[in-house]
Formats: sequence, structure tokens, C-alpha cells
Amino acid sequence: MQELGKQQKMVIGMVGLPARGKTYISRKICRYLNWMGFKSKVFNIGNYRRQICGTDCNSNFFDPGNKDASKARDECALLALNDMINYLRNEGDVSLYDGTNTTKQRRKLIMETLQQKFSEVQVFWVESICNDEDVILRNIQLTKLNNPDYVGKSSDEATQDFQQRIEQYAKVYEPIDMDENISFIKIIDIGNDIMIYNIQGFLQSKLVSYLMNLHIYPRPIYLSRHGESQYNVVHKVGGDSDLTQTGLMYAKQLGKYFVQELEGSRNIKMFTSTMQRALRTSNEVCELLGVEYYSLKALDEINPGICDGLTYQQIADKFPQDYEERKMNKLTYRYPRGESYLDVISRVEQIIFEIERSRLPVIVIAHQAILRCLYAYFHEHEVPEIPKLNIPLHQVIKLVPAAYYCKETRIKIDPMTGHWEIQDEATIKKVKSFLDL
Amino acid sequence: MQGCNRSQKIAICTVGLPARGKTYISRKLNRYFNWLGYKSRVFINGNYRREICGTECNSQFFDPHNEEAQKARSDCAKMALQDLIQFLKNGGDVGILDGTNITRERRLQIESDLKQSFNGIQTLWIESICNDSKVIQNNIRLTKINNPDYCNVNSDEATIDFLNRIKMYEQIYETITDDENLSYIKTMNVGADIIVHQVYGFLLSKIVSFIMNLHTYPRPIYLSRHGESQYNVDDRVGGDSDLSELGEMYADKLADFFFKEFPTKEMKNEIIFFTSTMRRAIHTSDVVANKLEIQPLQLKTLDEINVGICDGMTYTEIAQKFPSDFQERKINKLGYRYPRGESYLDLISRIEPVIFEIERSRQPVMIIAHQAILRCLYAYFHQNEIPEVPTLDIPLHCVIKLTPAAYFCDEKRVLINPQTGEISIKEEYVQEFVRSKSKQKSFIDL
Repeated sequence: MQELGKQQKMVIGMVGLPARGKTYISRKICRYLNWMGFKSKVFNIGNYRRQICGTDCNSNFFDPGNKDASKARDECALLALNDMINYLRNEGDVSLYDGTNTTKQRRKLIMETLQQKFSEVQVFWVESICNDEDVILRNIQLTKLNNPDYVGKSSDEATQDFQQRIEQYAKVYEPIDMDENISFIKIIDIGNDIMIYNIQGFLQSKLVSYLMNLHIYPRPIYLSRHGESQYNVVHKVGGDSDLTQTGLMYAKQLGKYFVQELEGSRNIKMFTSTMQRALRTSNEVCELLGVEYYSLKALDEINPGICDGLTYQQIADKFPQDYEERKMNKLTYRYPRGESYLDVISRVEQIIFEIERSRLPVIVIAHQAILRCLYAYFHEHEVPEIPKLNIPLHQVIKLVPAAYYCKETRIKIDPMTGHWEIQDEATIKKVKSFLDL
Repeated sequence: MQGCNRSQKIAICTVGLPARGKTYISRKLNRYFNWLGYKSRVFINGNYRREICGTECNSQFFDPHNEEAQKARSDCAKMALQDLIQFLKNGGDVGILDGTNITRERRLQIESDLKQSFNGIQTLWIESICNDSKVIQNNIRLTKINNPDYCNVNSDEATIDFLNRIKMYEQIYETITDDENLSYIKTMNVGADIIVHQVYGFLLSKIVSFIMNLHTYPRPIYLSRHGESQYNVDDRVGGDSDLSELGEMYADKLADFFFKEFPTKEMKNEIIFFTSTMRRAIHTSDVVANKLEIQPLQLKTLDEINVGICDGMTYTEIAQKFPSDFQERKINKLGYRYPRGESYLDLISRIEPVIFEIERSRQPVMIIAHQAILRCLYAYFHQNEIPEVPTLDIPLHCVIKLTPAAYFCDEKRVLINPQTGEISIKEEYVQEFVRSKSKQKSFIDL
């Protein structure tokens, strides 16, 4: 139903003092939208300011009384705004304007500029308010100290300066008021209170539902395919085949892994599909863990329609045209009477919400295509890459959400010996991408 | 999502002056929960009061200084709450208390009673605030005048008395404040503005999404199956067959019907048009789309129920080849899942996003789809019980026009003869029990 949301371009403006999670939220929204098929991009005003004014700005730069600095900062804001509009004019569907935007005057300026230059655009504001000192301090430590603004400074110095910076902003902060006549959502204390005002349209409605499910509890997410199935062995697609002996052994080893990993805790949420191979795997795990699982049709493997039960070779022989089409565009190609990866993404969306919402560790035992979609969402892969992502059998992918990304670990489990091999993905990659925002 | 955490009980209590849509919201939520598979029921304070104190209560009865009446009303409210608690104890999942509950004292008492009765019950308070006198007048006109309280009174007198009643309540109205320590949702301006305070949990966040999309705008929903398909002719299930000749004729006549139904260009462009990704639906929709010059959205979510291994077979063949499945399906058509296919329950789950979208829309909606799918959609808006879904009558070559209103749903069936284009119309109004003069004694929900 993405088409419903594409009827109008959208700008999402963030509002809030520093260290209130604006970048975190805008990145989450951006991730969600891209995954759903809306081309989105975050324009971080801080990055523009760093490029233009340099990174040696201490808190005095942010003093509202500092006329020169204020002028420079306004210019940066407008530059970001222009880039945002160009993006929407060209290939973008949604732009996220990630900045403090803490005064009515600034918000008014943005609304007016957008009206002038791009009147067809919908604007939606997300304000993050937080009064919990501990949360703010944690935010600063997690995300600001690695910030280019503080290269070469000690973490105490940096924290102090940043807190002073916050005070500068606080002097002139005007939370969104209803008489500004704008559509907004205010998130207060990480969702303890939410105010929604003048929501319009399909996409805004979806975003509000999405935002209500976010939190910052760092709970791990475990993804695993079912153990090796009989169809896997003969390279057939589809079907509802059972596990092989090897697959069954993996299931048991997987159970042992979780018992150790979760340290005997039963406070987890486990999801699986309705297909035999996944159910059997889950049954083995659950017996050892002593928990129950939710069996959801939404997690069933991609439906290969008329190709069900054929090997890839047979498909190439019987349906050469389809075979070619799929090779060229594995993402959108829909098996006749079956599904495409895009259909799967759509179907799996509700699971994403469920996982986001959960404050308990989540285990998903499912299938290759399904996990490719889920993994891509959490690990921020581009949608076109999804059909090629590497999700092999007999491996657990452990994702732990950190500040702006997910830390990934892969645990290869040998079904015969039960031996684990732990692979740490390079998370340095992800930190670098924050700077590239 | 069915199956997620059924163990927790939920109590929802409304708050607000009369004619603010509390009953409307309660009923919609109740419908939604039952739809999702939760045992849900509404307990209406007003009904208890009517039953016990009679229906000849004019606005003086609601004067906060009228001590005797106050006691009577308070007793009735207690009874409603007790019944709700009993319901939850006897296997209910969600109890909805529909009452004004406008004082802190009342709310705190209810909250405390609920928390004492159940360990770990989740409570949610929904306050409906409206200061738009037009909306209030409209509410009164639509729902109160036919209320049993006014069955012997003409509509002008009824309106005046009702407005006086509201004034009585206003004297003691205390909006929910944070220090009451309640989980609450405040909805203002018919859902355009919402405040959410300490609302956590799966169902609770679903409730907020649902309420956000509610409105009382009376827009029509048109449901039609595709024209007769080849498989229909052969009595086969499943497949992706094309239209038969008769089916193509229906598509033409359907397009004519809609062309007349939406006379102006503006009206045509307003239509929200959905169809499935199956040939027979696409071909039918294309004919309509061309005539009206609009574009349908093809949604896989509207594809017909997947019949798995029975795809392409007739019912006789199924009975022969899979006799035990055939029997199972006869006994439990709702829950029976075709091997490698779907059940009606799966369908209900599958179409939820479409239901949200239709709820949200304030423009006419047109859906050209399939029998099982339309049974589910129809049942939701027409408020049928879930077990009825698999046997609802949704024939070929018929447009069903549903116009959901405050407490009921208007239905009109337009049967179109594909060959002659002749139209015959069947209209049916679901009588809301409060409208009929012969009184039905039922406190609990409808």
C-alpha cells in the first residue's frame, strides 16, 4: 500500500534540545521508510555546521546572543533545507530535517520557505522532550563524545562543554505549540507521554504507530533459519518438508546454545512460522528452554507459486523466461501464483513492529527470504541488496541495538559436534557511516 | 496479531461529557477486539441506569445536588463495574466500561476496584473531549433523540433536555490529570489530536493506532466480486483464471453502474479504489477504471484465500481425494487451514491493514475482490460475529454498498444482470436496538 503514501512528498522536521534522541529517531524513521519502499534521507544540520564552520566550536558558538555565530548557523540551516528540497524534487519521497529547530521563529522560517519553494510537500514535526538527567547523560556519553566536535578532548571536558551547549539552547527553547498550526507528534520521556496533533494522511498515521513502539532498551534479537530440511538437501524450493537428521541435530544444539546464552532465563519472546521445518526446530528449542513460541503465518517462507517443489535447474528448464526475469530483478520478481521479495517485506512489517516493541530478548526461527528481510531492516541494508544477503543454515545472527546501529555477531553451530564458532562483524563500518550522515 | 499475550486482562474505561462519542469509541473498539479474536464486551452505565431507574429521567435526575438520584446512579455504575469484573473472571479478555466517569473520585475508585480484582490487569482510560458545538449537536441528533430516555418526547424537547443534562455534568467535570496515575488516552476533535500517557503493551498501542484512524464521516464502501470467472463456471476453487464471457459483461455493466453513481469528475477522482493481483479481479477493475478514468491499487493482501493443495479442484474432487480434510472443513470452516494454504482466520489477520485503511478514509471506497476476502471485510463493517464469516452470502454480480454510521451500518445490495444490465436493489437497515420503541432489556453490549 506504499502507493497511498507516495501521493505526496513529505518533510519530517525534528525538534528538541541536544541529546534528546533526535538523530536516533530520525535514523530509525529513515530506516523504516526506506525499508517500506519510501526513498528517504536524513539531513543533519550539525553536519552542515561542521563542514562550514569547522569542528572547533565550543559552547559559546551556540550562545543565542552571539550574532555572527547565529547568522552562520541560520545559513547552515537554509543550506540543509535547500538540499532537502532538491532531494525531494529528484528521487526522494521523504526528507528528514534533523536539527534542534527549537524556536517558533525557526520553525516558521522552515514552513514558509517550504511553502514558497515546494508547496506540494506535507510537513510533519517530531519533537523529543526529555527531562530525565540520567538518560541525557547516557545519550551524551554514547553519542556525543565520539562526535567530531570533540576530537582530542577528554571525555570530562567534552561532557561539560556539551552540557553548556545544551544550556545555550535551553535559553531560547520554545516547545511546539498548537497555535503554530503544524502537524506534530511530541514524544516525552521516551514514550511515557505522547501528544499527537493534526495527523494527516496514510504515511503520518503509519509513522505515529511506528514511533509509539520505539524504546531504547538494548535487548538482543536472535535470528536463525530452521535446521537443514529435506528440500534443502535436494535443492528444491518451496514445499513443507521436514528436517533431516542433521537439521534435527542443529535444532537440539540451537536449544543448548540458547540455554547458555540466556543463562536459564525464560523471559524471551519467540516467533516462528507455521511450516514444519521451522516448527520442529522451534519445538526442540522450546523444550530445552521451557518457553512457548508464537507461530505466525506471516513468517512463512516466500511463496514460489508454480515453482513450488522444483529445483533451480528445473525452473530454468521449465520456465526459462521467468528464470531470467528473476535473475535480473530478484527483488520485484513475483513467482506466478506466488510472491516477490517486496510482498514478503510488506507481510513481515507487523513482525518488525512486534520486535521493536519488545523489551525482552527476541528469537525468530524462520526461513531464508524472511530473515533476509528482517535482517536488512535491523542491520540497515539497502533494499535492493535484500535478495542476496547471506543467511546460511546452521547459524545464529545476534543483533544488539547500540546507539545508531546494531552490533552484529554470528554464531556458527556445528550440528554434529555442537561446537560454536563466533564471528564478530566489523562494527567500525557502522560508526563511520554515522559521520557520513 | 492473534496469539500475542492473551493472558493479560484489559479493562478500558471511557471518560467524558455526554454526546462526546464515548459509546461510539467503545463500540468500535469492542468490534475491533472481537475481530482480532479477543473476547470483548461493552458495559454501558446508561443502560444499567435505564433498567433500574427507568427511562423517564429528565435532566433533573442528573443534577449533582440531587442526592437520591446520585446514590441511584452510583449504585448502577457499581453494578456495571461488577459485571465487567465478572466477565473478565469468566474468560473475558477485554472489558469496556462505557460511562461518563468525569470525577477524579469516581475514576480512582474504579481503578482501585479493578486493580484489586486482578493481578496484573492492564487498565486504560479514554477521555473524549470535544468543544465543537456543531459536532455535539450532530451527535445528539444522531444518537440521543432515538434513545429510550426520550421515547415519549418530541425531538426539540429531547434536545433541550439533553443539553440541560450536559450542563449538569459540566458542573462537576474534572479532566484526567497526570497525578491520578492512570494510563490514559485523551482524544480531541474527533481523533485529530491525541494525548497518550503511560500506555504500554501490545494491545494498548494498537488501540492508539486504531483510535487515530476513527472518524464519524459517513463515507460509503462498495464491495463487489470480480465478474464470473472460468473457474466459477467449472466450480473449481483457487486458480488464477480469467473472466468468462458473462464475467466480462458484468465488468461492463459494473462500470456503467459506478459511472452513474459518481456523476462528476471530482467525485470520481475522490474514490479510493482497491483490487487484488489476480487476473479476474484485475480485468474487472480495469474495465471500471477505464470508464471512470481512475486507477486501482492492486494489493496482494486482497488476493483470494489460498487453497493450498486443493488449488484447481472442484469440491467433489476434494471430497474424493481428501475426504478427512473435506469433513474437517465442513465442521470448522473458520479455523480449517488448507494444507499449504490458508484459513479464514489467516485471512482476517491478513486483511487488517486494509481494514485500517478503510477506517481511516473519509472518501468513498471501492473494492473489487473475491468471495472469502469480501466475506471478511463485509463482516467487519457490518458487525457480524466471526463464526458467521465463512458462510456469509456474497454472490457474484452484486455490488454491496455499506455506509457505516454511528452505531450501525446501512446496507444496500445492487444486483446487476450481466446480460441485460438490469438492476434490482435490496435495502436493509440494521436496526440499532435503541431505535426501536419496543424495549429490549439488555445492559450489556449490542
